[in-house]
Amino acid sequence: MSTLARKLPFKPNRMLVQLLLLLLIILFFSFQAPYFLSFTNFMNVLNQMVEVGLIAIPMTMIIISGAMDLSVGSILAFSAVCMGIAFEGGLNIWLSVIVGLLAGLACGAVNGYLIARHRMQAIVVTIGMLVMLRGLVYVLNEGRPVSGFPDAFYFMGQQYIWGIPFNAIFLAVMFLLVTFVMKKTRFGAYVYGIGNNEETVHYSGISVIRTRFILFLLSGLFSALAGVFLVSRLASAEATSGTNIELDVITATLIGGTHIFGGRGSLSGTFVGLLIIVFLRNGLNLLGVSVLYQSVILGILLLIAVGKQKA
Amino acid sequence: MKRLLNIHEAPTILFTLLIGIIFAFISPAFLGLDNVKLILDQNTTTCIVAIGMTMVILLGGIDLSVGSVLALTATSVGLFLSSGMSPWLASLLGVAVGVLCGIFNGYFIAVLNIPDIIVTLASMYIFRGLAVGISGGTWMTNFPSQFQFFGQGKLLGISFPLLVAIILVIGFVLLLKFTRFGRRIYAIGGNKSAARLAGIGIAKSKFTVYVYSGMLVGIAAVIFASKVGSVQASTAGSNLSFEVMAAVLIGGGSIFGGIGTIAGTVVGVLLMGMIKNGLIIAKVSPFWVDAATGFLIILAIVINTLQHVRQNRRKGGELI
Repeated sequence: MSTLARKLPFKPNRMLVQLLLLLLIILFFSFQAPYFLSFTNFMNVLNQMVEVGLIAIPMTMIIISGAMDLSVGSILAFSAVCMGIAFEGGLNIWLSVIVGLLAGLACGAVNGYLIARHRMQAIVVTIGMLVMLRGLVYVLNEGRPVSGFPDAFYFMGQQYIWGIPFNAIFLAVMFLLVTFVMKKTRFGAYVYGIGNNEETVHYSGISVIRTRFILFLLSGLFSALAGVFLVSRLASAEATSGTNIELDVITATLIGGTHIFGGRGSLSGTFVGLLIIVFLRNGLNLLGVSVLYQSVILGILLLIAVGKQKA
Repeated sequence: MKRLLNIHEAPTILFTLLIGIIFAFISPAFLGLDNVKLILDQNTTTCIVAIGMTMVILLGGIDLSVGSVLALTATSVGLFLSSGMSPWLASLLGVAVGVLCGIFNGYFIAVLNIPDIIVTLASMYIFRGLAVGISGGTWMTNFPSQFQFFGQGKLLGISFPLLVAIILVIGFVLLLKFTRFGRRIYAIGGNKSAARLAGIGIAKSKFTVYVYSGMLVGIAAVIFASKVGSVQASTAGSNLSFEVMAAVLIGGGSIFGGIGTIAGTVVGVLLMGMIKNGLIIAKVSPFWVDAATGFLIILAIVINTLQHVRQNRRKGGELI
């Protein structure tokens, strides 16, 4: 690898390697799967990547700050089901959406309170939340899906504006917004700082607790948003939604060059990682590869992505 | 009395007794001899897996892949059996599959130095996919009657799986207490840099621990397959890693590493088993079981952190 890198006429930066990988995947599937290279399919991919993408935003920030959130899939399902139940209870659909978002925020707040305030291990707390919320989702709903939402609500997940899905536009705006926050505001600098050296940040008079807490709140909020978009796209709130989504999210983030030990990474990288994952999944789907084999491939990709990182 | 309360596992034991008494009041059938036997019998697989998880957590690590290793091993045992192998040989090969999975995890974690959470998250999906792949997505059933001995047979009046679990528990308690390997695990978990300076091969110990863990899951998988009589690769042991982790943490294992015993873990496994069994006897919706597991994990880490803070305060060493 290193000898190859020296022979190249340009300096191979990480972004370029990722874009090349993305291009290779697109080329490969264009030749293998006949329906892959078409405008409809690409728009379809964009439409489907929103949930993973929305969660990948706060996940990138959390991993940059040196922690990890495994509970995102369960928070997604929890807020989706809360929204569904609120709607069934006779609430206006937009009020139900707010209920769902508040449920996600509450989960994020619990995570944040335990992890930031009491300095508990993020991995264990979020695994606990993962199991507990998934159980609660089944308890709340007895495993039965909620559907029958009004047409106006499906706008979020199914409407196309000038041929581009609305939710993909929303995702792009979110990415730009958070990239701005991470690059140009103090908060972004604090996140990188905590990932690099928490104690220095603490002794600089910056509240590590508050920054961490906000990060987990954001994670809860974005997971809930992803839940709302998922319900809008699939037209039903199910207890199983969002299972195993953390594999996609974490793989996208880590392929995107965010360092597993924190301190390094970028949202633009995550976006490219996200595209790699969704095009890979879409291509494999078109080739008829089972979802479980896709998980094997993603798992191997995850190992490779992290294996290349050196502390 | 004071010495009794100073035992690290004292809160867990008290809590277990308390839960037992509560359930006994709710439903009189709970403390019946049959039910106690049932609880012991139902939790042998969890207990065997938990031994390996205790060692992993003692090192300050975590293993999310045990459920998938169980599925992979159980399906391959099913395949070996259906190809006409003798039950003993098939079981031995099954354990070997578990060891191979452990070697896979150990190689990436110890040799390549990738964080264990990432490796086991990835291998969780990889092993699960392999299990479904080799099984062809169908149920593994029709095990020969001799094979049922491993999960349902009796030896000297005790059920065979329980006997295996007891032997393994005693063996690993001794291993952790009295061998160099066991003391090294505690040393690495307690203070990694000190252990390295003392000349302990950290990579080697880590690798060995993951291999042992894989072997134990392999043994548990054989018992599981034989007891249940049918294995579905996509769901077998799907929540096992979380349950086992909860058991270890509740049993007094510290997520920071270096603290915890197998005896405590066994109590933790019993507590989890009692809660599951009690909820079902009390006719609570089975969906609550998962919620309870998650809640127990969070409770355990809360207790864990409180203990950690208290110990550090006693030392007075922490700056922040």
